[in-house]
Amino acid sequence: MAFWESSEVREVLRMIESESLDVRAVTMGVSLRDCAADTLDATAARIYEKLMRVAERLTATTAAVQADFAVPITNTRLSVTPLALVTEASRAPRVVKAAEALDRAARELGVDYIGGFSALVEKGMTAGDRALLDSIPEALAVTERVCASVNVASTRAGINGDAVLEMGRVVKALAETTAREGGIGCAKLVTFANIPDDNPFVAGAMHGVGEGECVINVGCSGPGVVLSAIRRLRAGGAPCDLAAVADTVKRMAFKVTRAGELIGREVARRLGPPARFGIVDLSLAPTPAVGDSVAEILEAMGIEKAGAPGTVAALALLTDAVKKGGVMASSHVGGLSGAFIPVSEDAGMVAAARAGALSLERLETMSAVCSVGLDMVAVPGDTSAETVAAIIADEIAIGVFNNKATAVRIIPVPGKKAGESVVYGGLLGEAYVQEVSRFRADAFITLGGRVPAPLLALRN
Amino acid sequence: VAAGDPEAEIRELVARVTRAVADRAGADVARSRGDLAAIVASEVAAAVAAGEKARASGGRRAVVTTTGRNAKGVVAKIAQAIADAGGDILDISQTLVAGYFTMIIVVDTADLEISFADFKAGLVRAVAALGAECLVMHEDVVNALQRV
Repeated sequence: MAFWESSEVREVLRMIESESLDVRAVTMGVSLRDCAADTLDATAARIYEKLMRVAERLTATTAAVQADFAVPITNTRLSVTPLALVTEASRAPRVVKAAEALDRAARELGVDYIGGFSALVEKGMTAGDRALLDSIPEALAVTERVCASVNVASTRAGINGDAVLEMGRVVKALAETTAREGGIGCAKLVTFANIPDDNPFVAGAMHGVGEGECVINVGCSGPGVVLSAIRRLRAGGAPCDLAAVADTVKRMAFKVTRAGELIGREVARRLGPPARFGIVDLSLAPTPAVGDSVAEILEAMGIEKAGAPGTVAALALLTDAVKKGGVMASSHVGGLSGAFIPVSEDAGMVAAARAGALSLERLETMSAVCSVGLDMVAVPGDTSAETVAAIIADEIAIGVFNNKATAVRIIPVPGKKAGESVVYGGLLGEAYVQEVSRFRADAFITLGGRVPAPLLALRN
Repeated sequence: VAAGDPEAEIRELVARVTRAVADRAGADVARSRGDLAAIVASEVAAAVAAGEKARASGGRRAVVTTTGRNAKGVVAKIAQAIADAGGDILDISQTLVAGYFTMIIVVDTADLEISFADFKAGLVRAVAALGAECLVMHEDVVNALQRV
């Protein structure tokens, strides 16, 4: 053809129609810094008013871009300034009303999740941070779409041990307030180290304090396209070594990221100021759909079940190749940009856990070479707050001491024991309750105080 | 200048300026630098305006891919639908494998008489009667994925 080879057009068609090429998330970050007021009611009113004004055309615009470009936009979402910074001026001891304002705006705007019910407490906690943390169990139980995140550590600041312990308690309390639905509230709460300012993916999305008024961040397509490419490579019969696998992933990541960048820029352009294009997040984000699984990619690479020996090496190769392909395709890469391994949201991961291939400890090791960490991991309901905190501490330490983002989204499922399952449905999928070590770290985790920042922090 | 295809537009701009300068230089070699600068400025402005216009119309070309079991009249049907909408067919290619065809049509949509959404819906409807499927995408998608 004069414009493109017909094989090129056919490849795009195949990627869209049978390999689920899509844009996983278009997330509008909105600054709520100007919504602080001296009462919580006034703050909540300002938050609602601003979101309804700034994001008014968001879902209509993503729908129009999707129609014109034929690339599906799977989720349209919102993220906001870490809310503790906004509600703090009200001096309210509980800030559930602010969460309800976010929820209402999200519902009326047609957005399935809104991230940013968040506090940044890596070095210490203010009264406003404390009020937000205290509100999480109720706020996430009475709202439907609000997601919370708490940054308890950073490579620069070290680990706030008090906050880690507190998060163990918050997670337990949240599991109880949402016990009737299997502790589903915990699926909307992430404890972070080195939280990114521009992550478009829930539940950890927030609009960082250094961001502008309004920004469009894009999460790239999922694992489906990469999985198909690796399967084709292996089925092709041509000589194939590790570098060939990496190269195939890199090429696919390039194309997928280009699609994401194109869509993100177009959405920002059509919305016009104050919206600006922010970043593309290269993360491979799986869904419970078959073929849309990071575990299946590892298996296509030759690992019998995710978690088997060799998994970490395969995952490292995968994540690195995705970054190398993606970074060439986008002028601004940000967010988490790794591969997600959320257990319940990835059918292959659930199957591997059920088969006994994928333990909690194995997931922890994998998180050293990908984003994000222990994600959507279900543990027995009788796991103590101290043990949850200790699990969080381990994962957070991996992030702090390796200068990367790590996070924990853990669900102590009320009334469930190891080996049982709980079905959340939708994007959250089905969780398999995993075994937790019967040995304890209570005496360590309750010491309190801060873990000093690592040498890595002293870079000047 | 960056609209649908920034590279092509820059190439077009350079060609334009070069042509204009060469024309004038041939006529009167002794022209001052000021004149040349004015010529370049006016050509750049014209090219930028053209780019803005293309951008405002959301790019000009759409890629229409139709797939399905081979059936009589598919080409005629879709070509008619494109013509009815005011689209201009720039290129057609078709492959046929084991009774299944993939037809790729590049359409200039600058002079569409209906909205892009209606254009798409019309094509999907036109081929659906023959059991074929049709995907209409903006040319930028193919460019983004297949051109560095």
